Amino acid sequence: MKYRKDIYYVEKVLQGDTSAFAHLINKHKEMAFIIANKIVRNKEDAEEIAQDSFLKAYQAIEKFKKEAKFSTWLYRIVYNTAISKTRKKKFEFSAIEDQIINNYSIDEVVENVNHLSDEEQKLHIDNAIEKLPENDSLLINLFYLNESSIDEISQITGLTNSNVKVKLHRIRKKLYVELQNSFQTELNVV
Amino acid sequence: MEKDINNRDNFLKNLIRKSTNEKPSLDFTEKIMQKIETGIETENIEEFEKSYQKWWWLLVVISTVTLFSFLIMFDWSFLNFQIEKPNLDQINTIIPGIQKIFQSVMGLFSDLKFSSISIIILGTIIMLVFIDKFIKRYSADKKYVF
Repeated sequence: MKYRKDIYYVEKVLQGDTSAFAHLINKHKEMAFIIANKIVRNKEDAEEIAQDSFLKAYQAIEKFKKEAKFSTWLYRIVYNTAISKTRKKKFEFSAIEDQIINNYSIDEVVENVNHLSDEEQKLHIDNAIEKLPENDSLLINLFYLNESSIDEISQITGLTNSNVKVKLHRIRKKLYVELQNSFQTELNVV
Repeated sequence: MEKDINNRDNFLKNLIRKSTNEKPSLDFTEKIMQKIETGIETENIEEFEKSYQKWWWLLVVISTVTLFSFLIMFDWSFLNFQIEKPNLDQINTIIPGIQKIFQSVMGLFSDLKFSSISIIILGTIIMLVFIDKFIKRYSADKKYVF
């Protein structure tokens, strides 16, 4: 289904057309669910959090200033709701040791992956992502899957722009390490 | 060098897009829309309750005005015979009796004493409750404004 811009539906909702909000839900439910699921790592809880967040967004839609993207505003609500439900600290990101990070070769990983079938690639990336701490996995998904900008990620998570950049850089490295480990494990099994 | 980084980024991007991400349930949207519609019904009930409250206050005002008018305008002279000559002997016996009741009730709590520390603790708890309510209200208003 092709959607209009978010602001169109937001205006409709503000004018009293409640049904327009359904389009906003359909458009953003998957990413909202992914954000919640990455934090709580439980499908049922994630669904409840995502639903609560949409309701909060609906109730607070008059406060949406339209200076930021609706999706960024919504994802921030999802992020905050998930964090408060898990009672976790906001900035609980992993500290990766440089020694571990430096012990890999990107070219080797790329070459290994390129030799695999789609199904095998999926298996390895799933393994690697699962090994990442929840917030790291969330940042990676926002950046690559949702194509959020650094600024948007910063607004969603409350981290500074430079902090997001540094973390993304380190998480990318960590992901390569995990991919390499995943290949090594497979080789050892074979 | 930059081209190399972009290529690597595209590599990761393509790979991550292949990863498994669980999806929300099929009736996800319907559930939220149902809650929103129920919420609107609740709002309507609240609106009705508010208008009902207005009528209730109007009724209170009318009743009060009627009662005062009745009190002022009614001929109360028939009570004069009771009010004119109060029986002082009877009053003098009733008042000490009431005093005794109060004194015996006070006696029950004579051992209960408030030290300054307990008053400070009580005051602090009340103050914290108010601060908590204020912060919650403030943060709820400001949380999602940007």
